[in-house]
Amino acid sequence: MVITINAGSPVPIYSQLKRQIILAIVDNDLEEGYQLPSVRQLAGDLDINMHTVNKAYKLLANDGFIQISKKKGAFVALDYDLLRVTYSANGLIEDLALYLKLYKRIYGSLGPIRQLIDNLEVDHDR
Amino acid sequence: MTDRQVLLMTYGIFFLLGFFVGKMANKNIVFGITLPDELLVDQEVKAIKTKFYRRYTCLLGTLLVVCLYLDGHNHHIAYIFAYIGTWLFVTPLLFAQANKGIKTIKGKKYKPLEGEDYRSASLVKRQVRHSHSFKAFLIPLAISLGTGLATLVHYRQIPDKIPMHYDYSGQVTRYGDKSFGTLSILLWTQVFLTLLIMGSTYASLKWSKQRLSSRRPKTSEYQKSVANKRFILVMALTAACVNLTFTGIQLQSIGLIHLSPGVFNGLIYGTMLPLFGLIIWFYLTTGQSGERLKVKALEEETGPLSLNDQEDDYWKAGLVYYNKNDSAMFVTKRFGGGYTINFGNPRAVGLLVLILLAIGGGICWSVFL
Repeated sequence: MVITINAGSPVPIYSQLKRQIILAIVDNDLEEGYQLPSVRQLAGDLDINMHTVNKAYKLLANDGFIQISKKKGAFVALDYDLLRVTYSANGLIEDLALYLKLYKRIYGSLGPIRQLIDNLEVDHDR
Repeated sequence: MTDRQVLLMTYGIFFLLGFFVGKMANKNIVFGITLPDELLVDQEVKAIKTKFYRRYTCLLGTLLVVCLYLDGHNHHIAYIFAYIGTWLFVTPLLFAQANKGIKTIKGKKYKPLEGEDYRSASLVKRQVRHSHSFKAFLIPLAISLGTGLATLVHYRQIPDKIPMHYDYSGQVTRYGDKSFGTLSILLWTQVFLTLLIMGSTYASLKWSKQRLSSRRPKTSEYQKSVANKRFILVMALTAACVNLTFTGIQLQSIGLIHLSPGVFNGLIYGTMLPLFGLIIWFYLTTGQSGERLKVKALEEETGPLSLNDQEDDYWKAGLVYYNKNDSAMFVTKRFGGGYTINFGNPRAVGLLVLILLAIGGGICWSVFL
């Protein structure tokens, strides 16, 4: 499992990290119980500050994606109750509605997005 | 093998080494500078490469001929030391010169992309000690232990005078009195060397920066993991070969094996041959970070190649990594295989000094004892 960040981008690195790890979790690339690398290892490999990785891990834990224990480090542990609070159904739908409207306004049609939803459903049925 | 043949071989190996400079780095690294694909075929870059090899051939080739001539006339060990000393001084100098030239070309012809600094890393937790390949270190440890046991079991039968020093041709030049002290010198040395190789392998994997290529991170991750496994194996087998050499000397000294000087000598050099073979195999099939590994194309889009300009500046002369802002103690070498220390990191420098002191102390101990 690989992560790529762009240190030259205006998007903060901790949020790039968080986003990619969430994506890997929902894609099932990182399964329940998967042990994430230590803060020191990831920060070292990416040549970024340890606080940056720490912040991303803390945010992921606060959202309900991972658990951090002093002894074992960080590992994937989905806390669905917490996730439902962090990402309420209404909240997600609201965000989605905003992006869909934006997409339609800029690009005219929602074709590629329908395709995306179809693909997701096919994956789910499998 | 006579000492004469050994000398000739050493001269030859050193001279030939210089011609592998280009092969000992990754494709996009030329004399310690990362270059984009289009600059790899650049005429000016090619001219610098040619200049390096021409200068190397002229300078060290001339020296080789002179040293061989003088050595042939008046055989003396000083000539080979002079040759190796000059080689160790001149080659990095030529390399640094080429590094500077390539840097200038890159500064002139390559414009870094605004806002793009891609960095990839693996999300797999690195476990060195518990990896399967690390168990290969049990081989050298077992050889050490076996030699120790053999010495202990055989202790009563060991003659009172034991050989302490051999010359090139395998003849004994000095004898010592039998005691636990004299008999354990070699044993301690081989245990110490094994632990040193094991420790540095562990440290360089555990405390290093393992950046993946952002161009094809998945492939790079796979290559790197295989390369690291093989790196551990090569180091473990190195330790095993070193151990076998010491074991051979020890068993001959205590009279457990009786080999003629010629055969004995051949055995000692013989254990070093698989080592050379192993290292060459590693370079040719694996390469730095596994770049030479043949991998079935993994499904992934080709991302941008990150050419972080600052990185080039941290590699002094393209050979020495010095970066005060980097917390990593070890980094993957740009030239050659394996890892090098970050000379800008006080902890890493401290570790190097400790190791050098330990080796120096060991040599002094064995010479003066």
